Amino acid sequence: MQSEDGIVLREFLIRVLIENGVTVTPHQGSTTGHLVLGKGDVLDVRQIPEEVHRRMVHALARKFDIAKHLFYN
Amino acid sequence: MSTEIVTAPPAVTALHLKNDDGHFVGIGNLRVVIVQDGSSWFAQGLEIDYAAQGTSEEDVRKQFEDGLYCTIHEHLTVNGKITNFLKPAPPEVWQEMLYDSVADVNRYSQLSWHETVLEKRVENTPFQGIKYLQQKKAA
Repeated sequence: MQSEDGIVLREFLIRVLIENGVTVTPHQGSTTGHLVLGKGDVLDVRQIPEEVHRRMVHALARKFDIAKHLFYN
Repeated sequence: MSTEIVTAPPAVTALHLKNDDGHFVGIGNLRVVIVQDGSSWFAQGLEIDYAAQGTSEEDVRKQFEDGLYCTIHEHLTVNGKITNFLKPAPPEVWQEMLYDSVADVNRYSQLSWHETVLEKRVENTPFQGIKYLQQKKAA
């Protein structure tokens, strides 16, 4: 589930996050599809689009201490 | 003889006040770098390490502001404080997003800034204190 232009699909990205210890839950009371991403002390709330581009993938990888290549394999 | 006026950049401020009715959180002078990433737009906070993706310049700002609000709200809900969230992006991100670009082609410039104080989300856009640094379009 990868692309040469660095795009990762939402479903795959969430799967990699979860497999690497990130909890992914709907934001309480959100009507806009925001998700709560949590790992250790890191807590992050955001929408995850259907296609996540390279910079955003790298930002999430860095923030949750996940190797970038896992999102592209 | 020429005179150059140099003003120090305004300091980033974060304010959190708590009373029985809730939390007051203010973020001021936060710099956010916006760059295009293929067909999408990417926004990265510098003094606060938060990032967002959007479909347009307008959308990425909205995504950033909405996400920042929700993240602060979540930190207040879970921790009762926002200190865990008030961490700057690491130096390599500053380097990548700001310094290299400015040094090479002066691509980024300030667009706007203002103070923000919010308690509960009573407006659609509670953040009014974000300074966006945006990649200049090629001539």
